[in-house]
Amino acid sequence: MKKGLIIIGMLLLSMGVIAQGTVITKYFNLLEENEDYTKVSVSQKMFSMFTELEAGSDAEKEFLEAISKLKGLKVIMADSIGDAEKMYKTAIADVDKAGYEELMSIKDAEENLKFSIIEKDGIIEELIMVAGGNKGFVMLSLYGEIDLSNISKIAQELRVEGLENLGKMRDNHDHDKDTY
Amino acid sequence: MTKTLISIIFLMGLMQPLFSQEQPLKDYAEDRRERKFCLYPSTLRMINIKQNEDYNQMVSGIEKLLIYKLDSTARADKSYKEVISTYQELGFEEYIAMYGGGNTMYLYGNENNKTSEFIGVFKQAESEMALAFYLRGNIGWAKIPDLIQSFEADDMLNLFDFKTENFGNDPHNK
Repeated sequence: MKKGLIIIGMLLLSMGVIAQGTVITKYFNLLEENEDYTKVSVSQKMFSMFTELEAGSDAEKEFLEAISKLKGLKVIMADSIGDAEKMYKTAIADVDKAGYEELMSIKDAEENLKFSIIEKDGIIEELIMVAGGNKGFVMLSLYGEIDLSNISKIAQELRVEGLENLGKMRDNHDHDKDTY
Repeated sequence: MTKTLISIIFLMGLMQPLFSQEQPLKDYAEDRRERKFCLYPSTLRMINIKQNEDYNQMVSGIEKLLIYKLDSTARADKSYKEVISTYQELGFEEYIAMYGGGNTMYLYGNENNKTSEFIGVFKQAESEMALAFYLRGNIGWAKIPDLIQSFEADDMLNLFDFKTENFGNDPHNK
């Protein structure tokens, strides 16, 4: 009986660990050999390099602090694919199915964007963005300890294609505040 | 007997970081190279024509840098993935991986208190160039932002022009 409880406990614990980054990892594996998609993975090791940099200004200091709490970044992107809309819909369904909580979505004639998060004890552990247009597709996952107020700074400074969309989330968040 | 065996294994484990791990890259790239560059502290400073101080500080901890310009076969068959796997097995950790869509970049590292080692592969679709490198020593990461600010195109000697008519020419007057 005791053994059974321990096994169940361990399974639950491992499920919590697996939950982070599962969707993007699935797409990384799925599109591994597909040359239409660019796959980028930045590990915590790389982010830890940033902590050695000397901050020249307060803004840089804030950016370096935000970066030091990240554990990784994964991006999948494609500029010109025929099934971008289908990819977007499938990816969104997978994100929802995996239990991510929707944070914000934007829909317009050119592009659809959806931001979802995994939050635990008030801390955002993963932010996933899925974007799909007529021909383009982006899936981006940022994981670690994420502070939403620093998202646009990270997006600005890292200059990774697709990451600029994170800035939209902050802009929209500010706009919502103004409205109410 | 068991005690002796354990002691030997323990000693081997201790000694492992003392040996550099450039051999797997050498084994792979020697037969697949168009060119090979081997740079040491003095040569790393020598290519810094304008003696940019930020660059000198950034490379001051580097003991050795091996760069292989890979041939067209290696670029096409992506065999460099094998060497990346070998280094993963040796305990090198991923820093950055980018692949698909034409451009490729892998950076793996093994850092310990004594010496850090890095290996990487860069492939650019436009220029049809693929480079594999091994670096031993410490990079002055903190100097990179200053270097980006102060660096100008003609500050450095372009090694890849070596033995071509452009070698040593001012890039602005090409």
